[in-house]
Amino acid sequence: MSAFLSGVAREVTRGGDFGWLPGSTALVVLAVALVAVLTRELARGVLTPEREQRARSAAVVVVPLLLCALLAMGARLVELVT
Amino acid sequence: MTAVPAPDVQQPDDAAVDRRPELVPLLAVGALVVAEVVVAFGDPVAGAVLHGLLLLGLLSGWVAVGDRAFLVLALVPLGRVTSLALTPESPSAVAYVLTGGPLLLAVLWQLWALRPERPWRPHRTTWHGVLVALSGIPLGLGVYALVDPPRAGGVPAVAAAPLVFVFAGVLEELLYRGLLQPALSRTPQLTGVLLADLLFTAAYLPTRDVGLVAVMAVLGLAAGLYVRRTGGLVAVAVAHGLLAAGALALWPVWT
Repeated sequence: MSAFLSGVAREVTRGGDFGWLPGSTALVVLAVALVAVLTRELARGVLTPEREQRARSAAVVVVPLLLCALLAMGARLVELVT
Repeated sequence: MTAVPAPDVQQPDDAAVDRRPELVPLLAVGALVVAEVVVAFGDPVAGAVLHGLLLLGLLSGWVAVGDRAFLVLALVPLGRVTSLALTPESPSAVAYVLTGGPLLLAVLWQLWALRPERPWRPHRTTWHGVLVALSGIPLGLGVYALVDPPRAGGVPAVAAAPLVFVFAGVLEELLYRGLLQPALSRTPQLTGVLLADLLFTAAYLPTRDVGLVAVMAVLGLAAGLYVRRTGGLVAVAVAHGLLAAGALALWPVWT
């Protein structure tokens, strides 16, 4: 995880040069998670059995992404309230 | 009864069919490296958007084509968007847990799902495996002395060390050498080692530290070759964990 933690990540969190879009990366995560879930729901029942099974197994990525989105948005809400 | 002649179906170009599965994951790796470059040297928010689009594309590729490399590659943008969205201001050890939590869940889930075809031998202890694992201690001191990375503070070093060990060291090895390397191993076999190391090195680009990036590229290549040759994923995971715990949590306090 040291690879994923860096000064750049902290710069974004702090605002720095990117203050014009506070929390924008959290919104990106939320948008990606929503698109992934919506695509899955729209494709339900339309896919072949093999693809349907693969779509189900994509949960290994989508569920952690949703967890990340919840944590990010939760952190932003706590920040706004306090 | 006469045999029914086979219908005259136009056969696709075999070479094109064979090349396609090799080429598409290769292009995906290239796109992920570009996204890391954008995060590191361009606009991190644009990089996050690019990573998000790649994540969706890789998931679609997995569902449409069924090449497991797509599903495994999707963990790279997941790790990056998670880090950009959740990293706190200060370099604390808790940040590793917060930022690494979703990625660790995804990596362990995929490892569990891939259990029947995992290419390493986790229960085999060898003398060279012990040696490789322990090499993380001097390597950690070396990285700390050469690069002086930010200390994982926030909690006492004794508490920070195990967190960094798991979330910085073990997690990265499980992702890059445990999942990505076998998923990207095609013909020739060395492809997986090189591509996984390329992604591993690219993940360090946002540190903007040439020395650290170079050191991790060499160590990543060595780890990949060792895992490919011996299956000793546990040894390199322990080595990386000791390296990270030493360089980020222990050596800054002890020296």
